[in-house]
Amino acid sequence: MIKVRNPMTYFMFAVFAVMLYVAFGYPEGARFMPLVVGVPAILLCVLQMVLDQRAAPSAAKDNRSEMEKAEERVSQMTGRQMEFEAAQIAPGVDVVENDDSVSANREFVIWGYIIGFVAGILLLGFNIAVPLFLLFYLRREALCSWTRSAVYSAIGCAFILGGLTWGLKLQLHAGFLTGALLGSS
Amino acid sequence: MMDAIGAGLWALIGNPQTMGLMLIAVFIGLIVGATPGIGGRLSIALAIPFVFGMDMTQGAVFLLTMHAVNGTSGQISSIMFGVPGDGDDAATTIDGYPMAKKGEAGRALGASITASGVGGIIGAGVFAVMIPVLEPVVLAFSPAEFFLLAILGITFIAFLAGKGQIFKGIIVGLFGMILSTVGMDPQTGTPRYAGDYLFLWDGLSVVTCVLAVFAVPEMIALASRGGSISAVSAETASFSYKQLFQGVMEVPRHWNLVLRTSMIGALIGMIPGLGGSAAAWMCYGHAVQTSKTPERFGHGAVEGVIAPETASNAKEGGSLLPTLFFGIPGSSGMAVLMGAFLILGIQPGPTMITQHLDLVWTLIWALVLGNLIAVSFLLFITRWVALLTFVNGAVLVPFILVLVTVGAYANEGQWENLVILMGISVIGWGLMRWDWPRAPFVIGLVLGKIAEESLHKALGLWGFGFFTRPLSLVLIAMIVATIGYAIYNNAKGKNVMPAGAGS
Repeated sequence: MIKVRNPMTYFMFAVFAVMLYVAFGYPEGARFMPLVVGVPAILLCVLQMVLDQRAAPSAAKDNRSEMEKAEERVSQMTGRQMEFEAAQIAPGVDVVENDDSVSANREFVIWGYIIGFVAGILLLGFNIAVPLFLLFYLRREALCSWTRSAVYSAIGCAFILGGLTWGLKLQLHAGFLTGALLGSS
Repeated sequence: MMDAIGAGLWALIGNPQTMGLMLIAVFIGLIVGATPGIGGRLSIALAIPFVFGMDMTQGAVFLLTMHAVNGTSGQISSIMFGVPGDGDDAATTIDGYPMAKKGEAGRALGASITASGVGGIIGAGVFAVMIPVLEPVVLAFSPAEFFLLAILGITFIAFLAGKGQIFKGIIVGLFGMILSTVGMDPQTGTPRYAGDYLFLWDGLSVVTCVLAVFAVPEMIALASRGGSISAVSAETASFSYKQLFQGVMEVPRHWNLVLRTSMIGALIGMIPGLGGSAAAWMCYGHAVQTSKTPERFGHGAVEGVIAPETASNAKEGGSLLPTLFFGIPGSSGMAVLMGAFLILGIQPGPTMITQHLDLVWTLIWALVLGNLIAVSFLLFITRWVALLTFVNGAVLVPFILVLVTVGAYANEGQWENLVILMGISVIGWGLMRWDWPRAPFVIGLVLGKIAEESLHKALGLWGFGFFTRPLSLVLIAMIVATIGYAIYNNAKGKNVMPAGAGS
């Protein structure tokens, strides 16, 4: 039974297959480039699928530190056995890193924020969505106090929105809902 | 040529607005370089919306300077705390941090900042020297060769992605290329993959796609993994200006090494895909091999700081050469920069020599002056810039996401780009999640339109016989050899390059 080891290979295959299928409906001149690109891409995707299937199910994880890997790399390059002293970071310096399982859950949370933010921009416009997003993200995800979140959000809005609209005279999206409400009032 | 050199310099220093923009770019580049989580290519992508409406020269100088000085401040956290800012700085950590542990942080910083600046200037010099050498080659290239160069560019980047990822790299490059066909076909006027959506008839926005593939996934990674430096003792961050000056003087003392590693760095920069990380490691290895006392390396040898820093910054000048003259970006950062250049109306290729040589020289001067200003500036403000390394990534994420959405929207003033941003961000995240290289996507997307135009021109001029032109045959041989070598290495289970070299 074929097990999907790398979903991106199948995704790419599907994208190229659909794009090639659609390209066949175009006039000769218009479909030429999609065919030149798409046909080899489909073949490469098939080759990659074979390689994915042949790959070891789970390669042993390399638990060596970056410095140990660097020692090996430079030793190979120079032909001498190297020993690096910088194997640990400075005392008093704490690098905050989450583990992988926590990261995976966090990724979905962050996606939620991003999709919500973009939906907010489309419906309410930049001028409302940006301060709300900054305020809530800073408070809930960056764990800043409400006061600090409000101050950072205000500074960010002043620089980004103020700078763009007044400085560069850019017209930002007003939002479908906001636009409809303002238009009807 | 002399006229162009003079005109290039005058276009820079004779215009207070351009000089002012360059100073702003130096300042932003240094700040961004020292701030965790924001790499060079991301900062360029974020800056693109702000260069709209700028004159071609001013916009190009602004973006190039910002990109070029980015690495100069990136090594501060590597030296002071043993935490490399990005891949380019990892080699600097090996000797930089042991120097800091011995109480020589100032000396290491002085040497690395000066070496980085000098490397950048020599890299620009190497680029300048190569112009007359390459001029006849560039002018001999016809549309047939430019089509093949686009394919070669993608192959190179994919080849250097490492760990047997060549096929994935080429697939991603071709994915970028096929997405570049979205919109009105230049030959027949048929809207391709656009349906009735008028906003797609002009094609997908390069800025939106670049932001989607690089910025959004990077921000998700930064937000979910953390990784900020949260605490430091007072003595770890302390050094004196006397030490800093001693470090500066180490660069002229090791002028021979500086010169050699700068040249190697610039040459590596000319090979698409190798990038700053490869340049830094190769030059570190070179410094070890050529030293009379190699046993000092890894325990605080100042040469171990100088060599990778000169190389990683010298490669910027080198990588500008294939980007401007052949339309093949030397690195993913250069690919984003090339996308920005195209938006500003700068078309890479022979016209850079025949019509825009002044601009080429202005960019070379911008590299030289930008690095000089960056070094002088950074030597005075290092102590304060170092504080930026403690900025919590979680605080930066929402601000960068706001800039990303503003950038995607402001690019064409169309809300539909925000929907495109979301769609392609999911693909970009997928690429990052399942360890596919992302740099070839940008190159395919940026080069796709040029490749299609060149292909149609070549077919119009020679029919399919263009494949048998001598220069075309050379390029085809290079493409086949690159793929063949990668397959051979893959079959033998060898890595072509360290992982991430071309990502």
